[in-house]
Amino acid sequence: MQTLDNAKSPPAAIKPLDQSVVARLKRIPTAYFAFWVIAAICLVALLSWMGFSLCPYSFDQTSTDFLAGPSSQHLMGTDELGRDLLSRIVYGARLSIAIGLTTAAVAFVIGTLYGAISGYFGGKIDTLLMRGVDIAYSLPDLLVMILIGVLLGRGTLGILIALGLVSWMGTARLVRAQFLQLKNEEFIEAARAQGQSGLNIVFKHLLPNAIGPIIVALTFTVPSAILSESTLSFIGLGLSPPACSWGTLASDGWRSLRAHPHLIFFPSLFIFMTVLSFNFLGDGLRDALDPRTRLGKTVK
Amino acid sequence: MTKSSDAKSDDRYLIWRLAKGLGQCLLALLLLVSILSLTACTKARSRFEPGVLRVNLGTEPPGLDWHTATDSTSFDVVSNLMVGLTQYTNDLTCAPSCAKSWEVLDDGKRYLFHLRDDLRWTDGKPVTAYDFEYAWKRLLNPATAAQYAFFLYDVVNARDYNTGKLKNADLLGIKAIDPHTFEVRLSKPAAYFIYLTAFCVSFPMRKDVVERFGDRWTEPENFVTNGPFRLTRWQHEYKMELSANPQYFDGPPKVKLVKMFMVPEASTAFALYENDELDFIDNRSFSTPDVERFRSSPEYKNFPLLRANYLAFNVSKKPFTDPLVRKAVAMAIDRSVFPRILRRGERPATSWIPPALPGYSPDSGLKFDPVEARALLAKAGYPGGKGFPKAELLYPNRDDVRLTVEATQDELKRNLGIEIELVNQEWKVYLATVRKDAPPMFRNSWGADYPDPETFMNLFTKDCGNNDTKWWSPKYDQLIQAAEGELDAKKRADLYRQADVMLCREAVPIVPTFLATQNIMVKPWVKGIAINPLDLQFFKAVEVGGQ
Repeated sequence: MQTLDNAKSPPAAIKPLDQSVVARLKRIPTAYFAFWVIAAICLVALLSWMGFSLCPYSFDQTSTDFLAGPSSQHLMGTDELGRDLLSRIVYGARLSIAIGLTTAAVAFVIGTLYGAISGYFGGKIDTLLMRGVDIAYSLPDLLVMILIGVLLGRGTLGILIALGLVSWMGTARLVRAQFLQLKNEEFIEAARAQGQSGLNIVFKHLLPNAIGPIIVALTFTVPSAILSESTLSFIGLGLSPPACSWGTLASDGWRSLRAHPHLIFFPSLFIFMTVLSFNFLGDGLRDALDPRTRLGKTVK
Repeated sequence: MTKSSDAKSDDRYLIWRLAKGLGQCLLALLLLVSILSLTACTKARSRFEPGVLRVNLGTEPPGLDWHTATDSTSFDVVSNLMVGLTQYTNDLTCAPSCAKSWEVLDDGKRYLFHLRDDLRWTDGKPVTAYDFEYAWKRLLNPATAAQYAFFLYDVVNARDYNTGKLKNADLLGIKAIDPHTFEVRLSKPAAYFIYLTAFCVSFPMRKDVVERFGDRWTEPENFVTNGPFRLTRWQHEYKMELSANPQYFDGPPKVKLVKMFMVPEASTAFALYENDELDFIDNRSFSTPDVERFRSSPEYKNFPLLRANYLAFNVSKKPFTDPLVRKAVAMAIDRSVFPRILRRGERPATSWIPPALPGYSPDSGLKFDPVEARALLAKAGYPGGKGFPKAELLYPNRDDVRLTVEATQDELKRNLGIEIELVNQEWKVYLATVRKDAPPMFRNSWGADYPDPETFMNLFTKDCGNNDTKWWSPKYDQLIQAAEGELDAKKRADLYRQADVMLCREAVPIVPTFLATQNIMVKPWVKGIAINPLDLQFFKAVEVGGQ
């Protein structure tokens, strides 16, 4: 902590993302475990994307082994066209994870910038920008996604942009609220008194203090994006077959719920695990990043 | 200070966590209850209502005006509300209905229908030949814009009147001689003509009702019909109620009420059937896995249909402008894959005329031959699929259709090395797209309107409103025209066979894939449900109850 003592920085205890965050995360076993689950899934997705085949089959390789249940040959069984389900889930992971993370990233960049401007300047600009968010919020997500899908055509890029564009408003409101609250704090006043520039204040003082809630909110964006993607694919604006994601696998599989439950069980298991992990991680990060609880401990 | 506020926030946090946990528990409980209720909740209730048949229509019918409707959902309703000059028996011959008898005169160029005199509309007025004259002229009137107008093109001057070349409707070969005699003159003999008089689009219509209520004439409060049932209730997007018509000339049907629900989701409808809330379900309420589970049930039946599925090319779009490419595709698809993945008893098809109809020959179409297919593709300039553009294949968004196009995509990739991009659209959008500007490839299907090869072969003539392939050939049109007018059954079948060879072996604007089946499940307390290969569902002979 002492090493970080710097005249321009706020008190070290409130500076987030220092070592103690990871240390704190370690102390919350569910969150720490969730972190590793997510890391493992991301690794699998990344390897699959880079072309390292982890399964003996290709995701679109058909066989005459239609709708086989789990066996030693096909660990998670096969689908209606005799394709290995495990291979398809591994293939689908790359899109589902990419969509989750990219949407979170887009929401972070747009939402933070928008909210920061709104919250920092306040007044008329704030009113104007926030009414913009209200309007964007009032448009049904599905409608916006369909419009974007139609404009950009099908495919992964369209899905990524569509989901990104409907998910930044929450972040923007959150950042604005944080900024409005923080900008009247004494350390900001001190920074102003020192004559620091606006940009400096935003990026060096306000943002680092607001980052905790933002990261937590983003971890909740990821699972909702993974689920929304399946909706898009279902109405024909998402992926075109044979490409698949967890969402499309689940929406294709649920019809066979009674006759061939493995088709719905395994994709949903992965969605479930990922969504749950992100939620646990978000929960854990909320605790780990909350400056007040930390302050309490350090003061003690 | 810090401490107390900390404690407060800790408290709040705890409450929040507790609430969240409770919420999750509740959700889980709700799920459990709903799953249980699906299987076990209504056993105590009576399992059926005597005299009431409950069926699933699938979707809201786009319209009940049988001149502008083109879809089977609308026809399913209309064929229970209305009767025409003739009607089908169970073995698909035409039996007298509104017409008690008819004469075929002038070597098959003039038909004289003699109507029964005890026919009544639901409002009590008699059904007359004038109602038929009005209806047939309305169907052909260009202002009606009926896609099925081509149905009556064999009538004298009908084509010219419908295409606007002729303005005077009195010159049409359609005439009510007196209230009980209806005369039709044809421009050439047509062997299949009598079948047309049993199909929905040729049913009579009340001029006064149509003109008085305009677009709303098919709403229950305005609708006037003449069939075994009458429309008594139409709750849009939910259900239709058809009550027995006491004035029906053949005696009122045995059920007093048919409830037609509109449940688009197959698995929901199937659950309703299992829960005794539907008495009869067909393909619309079936997913393939359900068929597998119930194949051995006594309630399950499977019927072959005269409904052919095909892959069509837009021959004006590259690379399918080249017949070699089209042939290569036709020979690279192993049709035996379709029954294996759909598992409802489908029959693979290579010719456009199905086996049950005259003109069918097993050799009319191209057989699966990947080696020859690759050779053809190489000859067309794409050896091993190299340089082949990524072509789009459009299909309507339905599960079983998706499986078939995915299988097709896989066959083409494996056997020809070409990549196909699958594009899906919602049913109505798909229909509009295919009509307006069809993509290079699309998946389509055609169900016979009457049991004659003409209903299939006519589809790919130049003037047919349903020919979306942009392909036509004078030779093909001549063959069809000759077959239409040929009265010798053997010669006629041979003409259709020649046209079929042209369609499926030489020009190949379409690739027939398989013939569909109808799968139904009927509760044991329902008697008299019959499915014919035309997939027309008549409920007038059905009985419910009396176990």
